[in-house]
Amino acid sequence: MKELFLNVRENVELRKGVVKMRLFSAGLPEFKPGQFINISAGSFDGILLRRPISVFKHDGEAKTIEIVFEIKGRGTTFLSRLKGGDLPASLFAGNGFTVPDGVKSVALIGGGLGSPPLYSVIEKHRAKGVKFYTYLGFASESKTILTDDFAAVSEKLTVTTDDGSYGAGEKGFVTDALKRDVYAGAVKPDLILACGPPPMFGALKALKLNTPTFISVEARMGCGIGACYACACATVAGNRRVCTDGPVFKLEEVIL
Amino acid sequence: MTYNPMEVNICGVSFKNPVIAASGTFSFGFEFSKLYDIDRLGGISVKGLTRERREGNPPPRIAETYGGVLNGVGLQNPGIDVFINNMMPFLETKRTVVIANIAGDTEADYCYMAERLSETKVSIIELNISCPNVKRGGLAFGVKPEDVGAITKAVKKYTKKPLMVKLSPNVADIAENARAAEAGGADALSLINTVSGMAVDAETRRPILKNVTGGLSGPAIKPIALAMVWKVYNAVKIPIVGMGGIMSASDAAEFILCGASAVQVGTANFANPLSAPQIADGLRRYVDKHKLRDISELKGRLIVD
Repeated sequence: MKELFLNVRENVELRKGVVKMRLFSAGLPEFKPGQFINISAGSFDGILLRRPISVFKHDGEAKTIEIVFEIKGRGTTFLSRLKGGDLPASLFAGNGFTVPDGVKSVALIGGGLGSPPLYSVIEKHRAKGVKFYTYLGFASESKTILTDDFAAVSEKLTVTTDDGSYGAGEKGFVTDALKRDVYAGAVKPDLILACGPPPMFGALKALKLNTPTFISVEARMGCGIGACYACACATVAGNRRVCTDGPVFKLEEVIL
Repeated sequence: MTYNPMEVNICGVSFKNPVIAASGTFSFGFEFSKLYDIDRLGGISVKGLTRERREGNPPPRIAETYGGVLNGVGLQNPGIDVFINNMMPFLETKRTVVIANIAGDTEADYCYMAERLSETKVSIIELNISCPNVKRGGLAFGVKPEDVGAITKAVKKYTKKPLMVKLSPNVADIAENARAAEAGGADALSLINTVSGMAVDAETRRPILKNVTGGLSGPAIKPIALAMVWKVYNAVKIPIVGMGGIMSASDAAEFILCGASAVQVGTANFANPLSAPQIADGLRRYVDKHKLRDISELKGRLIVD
């Protein structure tokens, strides 16, 4: 992990309240999909803590990364308004997703704003011939993001909305679509990687699929580097640190 | 040997500079050592240790407030044995003072840990009787002056290591508690621990911390901390390590002016992981700018007209 300045290159609103930000640094360190950056949200308006945000795209040649986040409070509002300038950040943090050699087919399960980091997994492993079956779930059509990006790199993209309002998608939960495809033998994943809200992980666990499954969890963080023990995740081995022991954990080890 | 104007001596222990990483914000130094050479710090106060491994409170454990951070971690730590066997070998390779922060459920826990630490290369034992986030022990020993005196006196019997008592601001009169610790045999004091606080989400109508209340740190509490350091400085003779919202070298200088011999930097480590060594470097520039012989010359030199 390195402490450096990230230069803000672009800030685009993907939809109301969700922003995609492109950042540059000549000294961008090694990156593993699923890792995150811990970025300063300025020091105005009483802000102290950095914001941990996962990486959507990573371009090692251009030395840029893209992050996608929802505007939720003072920090993300500040970040969303930036048109340029440098921000201090620690990167890349966390363990990230592993796609072991020999894995040929991966099911990616994204829930809402949990979807972006899954893209970086495809970006890294697609060239090796790994096939990605992507399932993204959103509350409604108005909440969908990055569907074109995922469609372009996935073997197959399935989008679900809770209310069925997304025309090109299905009504229901993302885990229902996965269950149907796996049970029907339409998709035979060697590995399942997921990122989304805790209820989605619960539904995934309930499927009891006999496939190694890893999830990326979210937590309120303090230091973001493993020193403060604020971001606890309850596991069968006790409380682990999301920032350094995670954010990726084996599904069966996490107590949901 | 070259003269080091930043060196401070606290109860017989020499620190190369007066900047110490505060307990609970720095773990055991390993994580920060990946970002910078932690030998640049005067010392490290390690994560609060308990007799047995402790899991801490359920999450969420942290909330950001205006200019502050509210935490309710609840002393998650691997326990004293793992500290001695697995963490100390790493810390012993470093040339920075190691302060062991201990928190017990009972007086016997404090005494046991102090005795165990006597065999180690820990330089100072910091008695944490001021953690607001645990149900038993912790703050229970730190509220009434007579309890502060009694626990200090009891632990002193079990160790020859210098004992630094960490005081809580959540008390009637911190100067009384400081005097009680001094009378009980404390070699130094550190203050302040976090201020009891709460954060609420109006939309969900719930407290943000699972523990409901927590301990407030960061620049929001600096004025409280400065007033308490000044008050305690005028009440006791033993050295004081001041802390509470130090974000910059000038913040650190303010604490020293109010009577602190050294300072601890905590929440600033979260805002900027490089802040502790940067504050040490900044204090050096302060010494040069103000043409001081050494940093100790500043101690307690607040000008009150």
